[in-house]
Amino acid sequence: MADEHENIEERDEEFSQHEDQQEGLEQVIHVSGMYKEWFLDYASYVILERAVPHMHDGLKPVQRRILHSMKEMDDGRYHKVANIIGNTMKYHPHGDASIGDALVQVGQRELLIDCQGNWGNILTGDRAAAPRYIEARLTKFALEVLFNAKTTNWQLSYDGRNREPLTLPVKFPLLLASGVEGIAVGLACKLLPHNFVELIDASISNLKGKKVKIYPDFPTGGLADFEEYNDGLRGGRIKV
Amino acid sequence: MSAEYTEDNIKTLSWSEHIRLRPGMYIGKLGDGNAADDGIYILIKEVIDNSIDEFVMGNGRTIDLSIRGTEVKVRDYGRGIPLGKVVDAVSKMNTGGKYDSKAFKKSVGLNGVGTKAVNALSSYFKVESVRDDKIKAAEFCRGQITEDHDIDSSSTRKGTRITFIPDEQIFKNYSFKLEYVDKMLWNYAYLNRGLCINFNGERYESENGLKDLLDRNIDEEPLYPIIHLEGDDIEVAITHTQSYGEDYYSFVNGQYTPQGGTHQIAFRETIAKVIRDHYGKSFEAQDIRASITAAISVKVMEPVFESQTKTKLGSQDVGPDGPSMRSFVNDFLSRSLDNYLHKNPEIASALLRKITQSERERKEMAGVKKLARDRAKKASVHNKKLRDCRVHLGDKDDRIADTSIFICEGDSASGSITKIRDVNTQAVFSLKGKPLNTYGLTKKIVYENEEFNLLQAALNIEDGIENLRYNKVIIATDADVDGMHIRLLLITFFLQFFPEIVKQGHLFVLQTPLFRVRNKKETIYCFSEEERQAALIRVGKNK
Repeated sequence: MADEHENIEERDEEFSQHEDQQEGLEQVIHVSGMYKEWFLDYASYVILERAVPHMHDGLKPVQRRILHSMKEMDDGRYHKVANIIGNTMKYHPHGDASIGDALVQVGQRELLIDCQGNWGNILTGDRAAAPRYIEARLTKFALEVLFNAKTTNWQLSYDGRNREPLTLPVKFPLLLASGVEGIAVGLACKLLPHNFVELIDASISNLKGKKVKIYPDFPTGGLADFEEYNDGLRGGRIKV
Repeated sequence: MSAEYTEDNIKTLSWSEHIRLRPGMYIGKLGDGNAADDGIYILIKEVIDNSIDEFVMGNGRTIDLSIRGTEVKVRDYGRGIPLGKVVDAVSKMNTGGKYDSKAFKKSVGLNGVGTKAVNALSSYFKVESVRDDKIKAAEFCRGQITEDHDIDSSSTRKGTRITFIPDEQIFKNYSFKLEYVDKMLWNYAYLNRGLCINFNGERYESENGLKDLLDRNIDEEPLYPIIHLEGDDIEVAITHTQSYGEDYYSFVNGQYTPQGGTHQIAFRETIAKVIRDHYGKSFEAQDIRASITAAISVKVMEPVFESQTKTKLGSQDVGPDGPSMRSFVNDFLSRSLDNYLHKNPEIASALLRKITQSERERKEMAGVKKLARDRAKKASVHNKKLRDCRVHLGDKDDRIADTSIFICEGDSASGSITKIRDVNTQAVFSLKGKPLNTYGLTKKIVYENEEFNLLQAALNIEDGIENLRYNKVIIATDADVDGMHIRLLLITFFLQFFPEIVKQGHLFVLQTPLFRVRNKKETIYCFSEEERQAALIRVGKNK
């Protein structure tokens, strides 16, 4: 046994020469590798394309597409929501229900969309009427603030037939006004809504170079404790 | 016209003709290297087995293996084949040193067939044996000797070197897959502590034997440190994990027996008994064995396997005059495992916790089960999510291998598949939206969640996978990101509650093409943007 130990290094040459080659043997991707790949694809899609709003315009992709298609259809009159949903489908490759829900949610903020009919009630939580009964058009405010074809970056839609905006050139801190909640994969965001008038005032002060402090406000009213607000940065907490 | 049956029909084949005509008898199935039990791996195994036998007898700590494309070389540093018998040892059927139990005790190679089978099934086969500074070499082609070198003097170390290229005529379009060779070599390393295998420059060796094996094969944290016990001719490693199902790795004389056999059966029975006796409580065996992961390796004199591929042990006894397999395993476990648990009270209490948890879970489930069964009864009469097919896995029909179930996303997708399926063998099950993420949940959820309950009823796997109704369970989700997510959730579901389905290769994922490129003559289906571009160029860009 002793000489075995000494001789380990002294092997046949051909085996010790090419120690680094693995050619001729196929490496197989295991299911666990595929699993990882699929999950990454899904997670990054959800983060980038679904649940989290873009910092520039404060919109989730579905909202941006709705607004873009409403602008496209805009002729000053009310459009039936079902039609808007249909038109939005040119840009948003998902179900009609999800587009409808998103549209109703934007409409309920009563900021960008001029609503007609039963759009539900945020105080009682009642749902809006079916899309075939209700109508909508963009508000003057939205037309003024959201769109500017010249400063918009465009991209092709999913089927390559249409163009859609990368982000909308918003002239207003829309993200803060509307507030959002998005749960993606491994990442979630929650922004509280703010008071419209306070936001305008703060924007003006900010443009004048002053430092501003602004706190959330809720369209439903109510009291909140901002002791641990942390200026809205990560980790801040409030009690409502 | 019936063929005449006369004396002329009775043939005696030469040994190599017979192996080549009926390779299945010697090396199992042929295959092209895409499954772990394909013939080409058995060839490697047969050759290495001989080297391992040398090692077991204390000769040659190192084995070198190299695979270059199709050429396999195995070099050991054992005693070498006695020079005068080199040619006989590889080309004369039923020749071997292992009939005589003196030179080789408790070895795997025993039939005197292995190397000859490799020889006959290789387009090139060369054997070299070095002993006492002399070398003897011989070359063969498909079992026929082509060159018989004379004994020469040599300065290399003693041992045997075998070089072979599996025959393309027998193994069509084969290629060696690294992962299978890798797994095989690791098994050798675990079972032969101190052995060092060099494979294409990589070292395979294990210090702790079966403990290392479990460590490597368990993905999650075991509930308690692996119990590793050794005795004369037996070695076991045991632990429990969080996942469902039982997992065994069993070995006989260094031979992996994926289909188990008497030693595994004995182990399963005994472990329940020993643990029950240790705690002095009447646990149900299924609670003790739930979530167990264990490896057992035994050494047996003159083992009996159920075939030459040696995947299932048939020996009833440990040796010609030895005790029965059952009492052998039983004696060992009741002594050493009981002692071990007494010496390690923390492990004993962790084990006890796990068993009582399994017991509680099972009892909890019994309540829900009844409710669910009533629901399932309705479901089996009319499982609204299922469009069933006519033939099932348990039936007597020659199409049972084709029976499959497509699990798809939403009624829109299931409709299309229902329309184009073969009603005899293909069933369709439609989910609605995303299923629940089951990771870390208990099996109770399978009964509470209607969707899973119906799926379980459709597959009929409530009481184990034996009753599985389809050979292939195919996840057929959309080819978008949500489809991928559902795919993951379903794989998680199966891995969590029915790992056997995945392990025994019943689960498949349907990959649909993303693009169809066609002109008037041909249609090409493409699976990626690159393929699409290539196809566009091929059919000409006339849109």
